[in-house]
Amino acid sequence: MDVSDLDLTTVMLHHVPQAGRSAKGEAALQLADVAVVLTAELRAFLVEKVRTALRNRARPVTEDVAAGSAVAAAIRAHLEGAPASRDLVATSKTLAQALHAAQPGNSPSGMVLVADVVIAGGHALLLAKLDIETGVAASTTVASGQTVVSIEIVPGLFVTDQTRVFKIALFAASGVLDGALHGQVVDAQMDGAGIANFFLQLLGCSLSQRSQELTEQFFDTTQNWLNSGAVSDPEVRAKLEIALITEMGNEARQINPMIFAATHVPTSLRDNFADALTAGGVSATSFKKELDLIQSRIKRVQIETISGVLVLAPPDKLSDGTVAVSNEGSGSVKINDGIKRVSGRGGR
Amino acid sequence: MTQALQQARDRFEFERARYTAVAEAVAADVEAVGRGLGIAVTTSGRAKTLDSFVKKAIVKEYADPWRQITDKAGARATVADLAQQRSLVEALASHWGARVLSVDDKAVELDIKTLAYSGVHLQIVVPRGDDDGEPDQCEVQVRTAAQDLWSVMSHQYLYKPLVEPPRATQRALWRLVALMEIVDEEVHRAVNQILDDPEFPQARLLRDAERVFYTLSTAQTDTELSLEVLRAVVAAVPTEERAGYTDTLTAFVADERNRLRQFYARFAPGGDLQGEARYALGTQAESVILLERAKSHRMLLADVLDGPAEQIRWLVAPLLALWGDPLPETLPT
Repeated sequence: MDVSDLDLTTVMLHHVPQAGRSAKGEAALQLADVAVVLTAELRAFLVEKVRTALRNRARPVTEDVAAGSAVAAAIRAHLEGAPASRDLVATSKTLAQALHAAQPGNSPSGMVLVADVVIAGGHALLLAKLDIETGVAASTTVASGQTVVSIEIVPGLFVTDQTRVFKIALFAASGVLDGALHGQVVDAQMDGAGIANFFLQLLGCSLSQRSQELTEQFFDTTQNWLNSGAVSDPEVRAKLEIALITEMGNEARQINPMIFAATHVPTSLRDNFADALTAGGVSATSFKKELDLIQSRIKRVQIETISGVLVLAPPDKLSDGTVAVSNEGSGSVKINDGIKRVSGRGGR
Repeated sequence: MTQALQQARDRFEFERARYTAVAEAVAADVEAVGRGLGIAVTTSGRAKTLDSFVKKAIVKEYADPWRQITDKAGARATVADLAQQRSLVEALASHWGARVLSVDDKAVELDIKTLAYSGVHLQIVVPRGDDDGEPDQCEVQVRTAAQDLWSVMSHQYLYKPLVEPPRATQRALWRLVALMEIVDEEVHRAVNQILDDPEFPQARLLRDAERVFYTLSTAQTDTELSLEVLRAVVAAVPTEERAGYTDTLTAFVADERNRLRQFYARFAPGGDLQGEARYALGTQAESVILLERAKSHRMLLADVLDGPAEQIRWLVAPLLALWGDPLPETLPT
């Protein structure tokens, strides 16, 4: 979903106290009855934060209608209602109460932001959970000819320039298809590879793409890009091919395509690679690495000869005879293939 | 008048409008190639006048005037200096490829003791698009401004004078060509000094930015801040892109003009974000380069802002996010 023109029209904020068995319950909530008054600067600041989070970390989700989520039903009803009948105050209270009830016992206090949003000329609903922080502010005054710097603790900060700690769900009216919500979710609290289960359950949604599919998409798109001629230098291409195979085979449990790009792709090619990932529908955010669908393609059989020659080959090249291994005598390896390049390194 | 000349004249009179179209199309082609190089080229295209055609055939005693007069269509390109002339000729030769019949560098052809006009002429083939007729030819003259000045003058007073000037006057006019050579060499030397100035790349980017920015905003730009920002992010516009960057920026603005106008109006006097320090770059001309880069080279821009331009990331990020192309988050190292 292109969020470049996303704008907030009406914003509700509710204070949700720290979770805990003793504190749970509607009575502990401080639910607002009116929308917050936003100055242009505040609106711009919030828009910045929401767009940045969605552009960089959003994962598509789809409602599981069978789950019968009350939150999903409330969001759908709000999106499908006529503009005149939309009651953001009531909808936002429902969502805040549900979120408070669903969040784990260790969740800190925070603000729930629910907003009517305009995106691509259509209506959407935004739900965000923002943690409250405490900071120290300084001010400078001049008294009796002396410049004095005073500092004070400022409680209740919930969006700062360093803020990444929030959850967002965005559902557009145009994304309600066959009675099910389709939207985007961000969870900056997770390490990037997922969305907190409680948040997905609250929304009655699941991630639209399984990790296996995301992994395959990333692998295929990167390989297609490497084969497309975008990387003209054969040495760079070889390094990237090795990096891709290594990325798939290493111990890391998640893949972040942007980190892969920043680590392995030369700066001059990085935008081209990012464009290819976007065109290939590859998530720009981290996802869990699941190799089930590409296992056979990333496998390399390693053959080491007596004299120390190392042969690495995909398994299908052994089965089709390109690499022939004979067990006669002390054994032999024969490679029936054309030579593309011979390169060497190091001295004697 | 021979029968051959009469037939050639009649045919040229009949087909002259087509040669005008050919010349104008070639001139436009030359201008586009120059734009791609970031060179401002003044071009013109014309068909030879009927009287010049006949006069040339008579003076040169052509047996087959139609074939022998190859400048029936002519285009002229004037550039600022010798380096631009060389670049443009090379680019045109590459652009037209096999369609180039000849390249005559008059300066190279001159005897070392002779001073005369020293432009570069290319003779090219122009395929006929409308029918299967024989391809046309066009003569393309590429000149520096100084060469052009002397050429126009000499054409009028030395080659085609109403009355032949006295010998001393002719001598005075001829020796002016030496001055033109000196002008070209001096301009070339000065240009090289300017290009070597470390401030040149960002100054040129700022000029490109200001050209489009002031069609979008009435805000007053702080030039010192502009140069400071561009000095930091200049690597986000790779060297090989800089020559054609005017066109890149122009195309970006053409695509986004309405949105850009609305966006910049927010920071200008009367706008809802006027004076907001967080969006200080909203009144700066260089911001249009940042917006263009965020759209076309987001990863490269982020790389520069995480590296050499790290000190201004805080200034750039809010504006880009508000525009709708937020930077990628800083990646863990």
